Amino acid sequence: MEQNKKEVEISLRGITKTYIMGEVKVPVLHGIDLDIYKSELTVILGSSGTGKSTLLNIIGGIDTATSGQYFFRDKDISSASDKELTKFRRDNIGFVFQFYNLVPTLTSKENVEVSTEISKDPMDPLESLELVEMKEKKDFFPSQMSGGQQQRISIARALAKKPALMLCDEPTGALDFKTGQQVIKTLNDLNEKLGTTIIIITHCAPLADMAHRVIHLGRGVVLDSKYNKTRRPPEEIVW
Amino acid sequence: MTVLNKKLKRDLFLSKGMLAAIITLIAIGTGFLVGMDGTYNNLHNAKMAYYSRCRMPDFWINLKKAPVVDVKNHLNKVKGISEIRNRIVYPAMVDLEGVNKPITATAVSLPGKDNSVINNLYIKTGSYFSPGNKKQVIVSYKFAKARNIRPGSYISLIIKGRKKKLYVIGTAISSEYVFTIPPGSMCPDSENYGIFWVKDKFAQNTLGYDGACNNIVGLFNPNGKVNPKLTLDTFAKTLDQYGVFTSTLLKNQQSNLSLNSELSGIQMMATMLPIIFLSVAALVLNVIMTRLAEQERVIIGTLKALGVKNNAIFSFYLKYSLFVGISGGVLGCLVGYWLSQQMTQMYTGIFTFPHLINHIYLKPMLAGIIISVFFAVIGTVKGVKLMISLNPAEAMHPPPPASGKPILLERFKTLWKHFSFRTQIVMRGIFRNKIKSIIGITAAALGSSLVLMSLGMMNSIDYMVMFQFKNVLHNNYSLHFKTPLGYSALYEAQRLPGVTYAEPQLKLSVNFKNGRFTKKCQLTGILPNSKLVTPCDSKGRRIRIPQNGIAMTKRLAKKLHVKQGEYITFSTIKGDRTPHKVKIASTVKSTLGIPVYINYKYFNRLLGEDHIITNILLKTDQTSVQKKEFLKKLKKFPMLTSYNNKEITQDSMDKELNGAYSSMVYTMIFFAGIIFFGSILNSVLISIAERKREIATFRVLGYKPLEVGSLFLREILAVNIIGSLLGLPLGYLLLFGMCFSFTNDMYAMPCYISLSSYVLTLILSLFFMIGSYLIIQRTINKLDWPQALNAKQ
Repeated sequence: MEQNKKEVEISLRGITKTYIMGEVKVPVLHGIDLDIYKSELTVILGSSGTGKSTLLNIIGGIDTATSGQYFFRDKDISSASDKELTKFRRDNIGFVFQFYNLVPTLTSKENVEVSTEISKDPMDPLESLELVEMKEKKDFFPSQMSGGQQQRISIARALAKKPALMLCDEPTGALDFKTGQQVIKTLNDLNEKLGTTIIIITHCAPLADMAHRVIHLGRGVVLDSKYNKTRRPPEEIVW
Repeated sequence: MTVLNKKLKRDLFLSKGMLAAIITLIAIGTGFLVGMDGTYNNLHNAKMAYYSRCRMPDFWINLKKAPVVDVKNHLNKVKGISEIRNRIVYPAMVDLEGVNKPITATAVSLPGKDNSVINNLYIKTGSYFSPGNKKQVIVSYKFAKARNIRPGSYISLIIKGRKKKLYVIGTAISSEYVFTIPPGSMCPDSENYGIFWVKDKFAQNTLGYDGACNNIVGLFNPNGKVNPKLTLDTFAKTLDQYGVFTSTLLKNQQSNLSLNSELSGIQMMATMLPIIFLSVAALVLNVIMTRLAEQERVIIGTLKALGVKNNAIFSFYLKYSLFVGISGGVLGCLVGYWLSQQMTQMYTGIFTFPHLINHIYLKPMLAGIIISVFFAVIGTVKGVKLMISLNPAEAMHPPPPASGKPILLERFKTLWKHFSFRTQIVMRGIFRNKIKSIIGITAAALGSSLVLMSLGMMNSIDYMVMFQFKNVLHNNYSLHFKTPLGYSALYEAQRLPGVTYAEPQLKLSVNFKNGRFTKKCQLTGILPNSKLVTPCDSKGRRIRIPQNGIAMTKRLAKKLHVKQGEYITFSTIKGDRTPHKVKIASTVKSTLGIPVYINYKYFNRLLGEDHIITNILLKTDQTSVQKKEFLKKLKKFPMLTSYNNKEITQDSMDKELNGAYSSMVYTMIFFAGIIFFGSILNSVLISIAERKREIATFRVLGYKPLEVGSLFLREILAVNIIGSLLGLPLGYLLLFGMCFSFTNDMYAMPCYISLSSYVLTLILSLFFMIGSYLIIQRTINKLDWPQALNAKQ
């Protein structure tokens, strides 16, 4: 794939993030310059404490950068107000969390509806569940499902609003190998079938093999960014 | 959002146990507001309606004898009075068939025709007087009911020593006798005291009052109402030549005074109790709702990350608190309605009204609902606002660990070392969650204060009764005469069957005067070494009766602006009104009323009399036959107007007062229990939810459920015992306020709490703590701790 023919979805320039904890300042990101292209599946790799999650949160508009510029398409997100950030997330972002973050008192279908109810042009919740092969579990509560199943519901919730960008924070982090494999397969399918731009952050290096592009993050800076010449199917990935 | 509404429904259902505890607490607070206010309104409205219907007088004048025509002529000279009615009020005895003892009564005259006169009757059964037969009587309803007297029967009254057989035409109640106390007694006794309304003509003929009266009741016109005391004094003065004994304004009339005193007591409770409960509920609710919102931190963060607007999240939690507030408020209205139903029912036994019915009052109900919703919403808004202010990324992470600094107690190393490891954990928990601990302590303090106040109320009543019957009175019977008798009456009384000892008393209504300060009260002449009456001060010490001079209560001396050693003048209200100057030999602190004591012989000497008697106290040692004979002879005792049997009076006081108040005390204790349970359960259950992982870790380390529970038990005990102890002085203060509100010129309600009540309060508080702990232990036993351990932080 050639970079110059791609449409830039996200553009980050000089992004820094410093957390202030009482009197202590903890710098996490030290000037990230990065472009994310449409319909690509990007894996951001890095060990614990390198700022992966912080970067993902800034991209998703659930956290703000201390400095730097962030553009989503042509819109400047770095200067967006709280209200504008909410609208940005509502219209463009689908989140998949490491611990699923499902509402425990809602069924699978209802958890997906939390997302579809606020979207302009959402999928039918059942269609979304079908895409993650969880339609038969539509009336199950989170406590009645395995971790992998819950993660797939979380993915269904994210994709049901047809987001421009799907952000996955350690989607396999809480799962065993086999279930984790099912989840990454689902994400890969979505990228291939629907062309959804997906960013996965993980510390699990083998997952990089399934991505179009792999970004290495270390100590708050981008160490390396490369394209896989050949992508390995998720079924073949072992960790 | 419909899906969030579904979540709301399920969340409410899942937290039903805790919700029930919060809602109950709010419901009790609102219930008190609605209940006490409702009771007050029921009584107040019943009083106003009754007074208006029966044309309750604005004043009473009690005099020796005055021609009716003259009274009317004098009335024309006084401005400010719109209408009067002349009548005859006379002490009598009832001679009931099959009842050996004489029964005290008051005969009151009424016109033969049922006109809308002042102080009219409310007929309960039978009818008003019919024309013709002079010898008709209407009997007071409560007495008739107690003695099973029905219209159509005959009854014998002993009036002025003569027995009169009268036809009972009806039974009735009167606004003048809403609360009726027999002469010489301290509380109502419907079985042994009755009012008998007879025709004016009959009373005049029987008592020798042809064309005359001894009692005037009247109403003021608007001019007179501007200064009622002055108007009444002016009128009474014009009648002075006819021997005015007393002139009484409505506000000082015995029945009205008692009723108003009770009403002011209820009003105070209607303010005090809801404040206690609603403030506890508000504090607990505030903490609970804030902590609930904090528990939802991750969900709030996720919803925000998904793009749900702040307003939508806010309105979701607002609905939650609205549910709590409205449910608590509505349930409170129901509890309040029930409470006022019970209280009103209780008062029907104490006060006599034609219609004392429990009504629904929307104003306090609405106020109750608004207050409870307000507190519920405030509590939630605070917590949710905090959560919403976090950015989603931050909200989705667990809160940063609480401060790990040493607590204040840890600085005292020697003391700290003495605590076991578990106690140290508990201490740290208490000190690090100061607001939570303070609220727990406050709730316990209010709970125990409520228990102590209720028990103290019973103690004070008991004390008042026991003080009088054990410390002061040692006689078995007391006889009261309308006019003073010679000393021979004492010898006659001594000869009654079974009497072992008799003692004379000279008790007269007198008017004390010190310059412009005057006060009407009873002056009691007793033997200095009296065996049958021991006048006591507030500490139970015997008041020494001076040889010369009087012993007066400090309260009265203050009113009259006199001090010990100074002189004061008094004149008797009945008979010769020559002023007499006496020295105030001592002033004493008295618990009950404003008694003034004087040496019996000295009193006689001052009046220029030779051993006259108005009361005789008797000590008896009787067989049942002797008792029967004694009572039979008492019926015929000359000039006897009433008598008291100490045992019967004590029993009836116990029955009337304790019976009426004990159910209220139990209700209060029940409600105090709810405060304890509500506060402890709410606080600890939410603690368990927050500390599931900590509990699970303890279990992994090998702690047994009971050992984990003991950590919570220690915390419950530490917080609530401190609170309960602080509640003791608070309870005393509450009781003091309550007693103060019941105190009037007639009597001072003593504020007395026995040691056993303090102990019982602490035992009950402990019982509530342990009860709550058992529920908590059950929750810990059932906790799915392996799952809690696996859950993410």
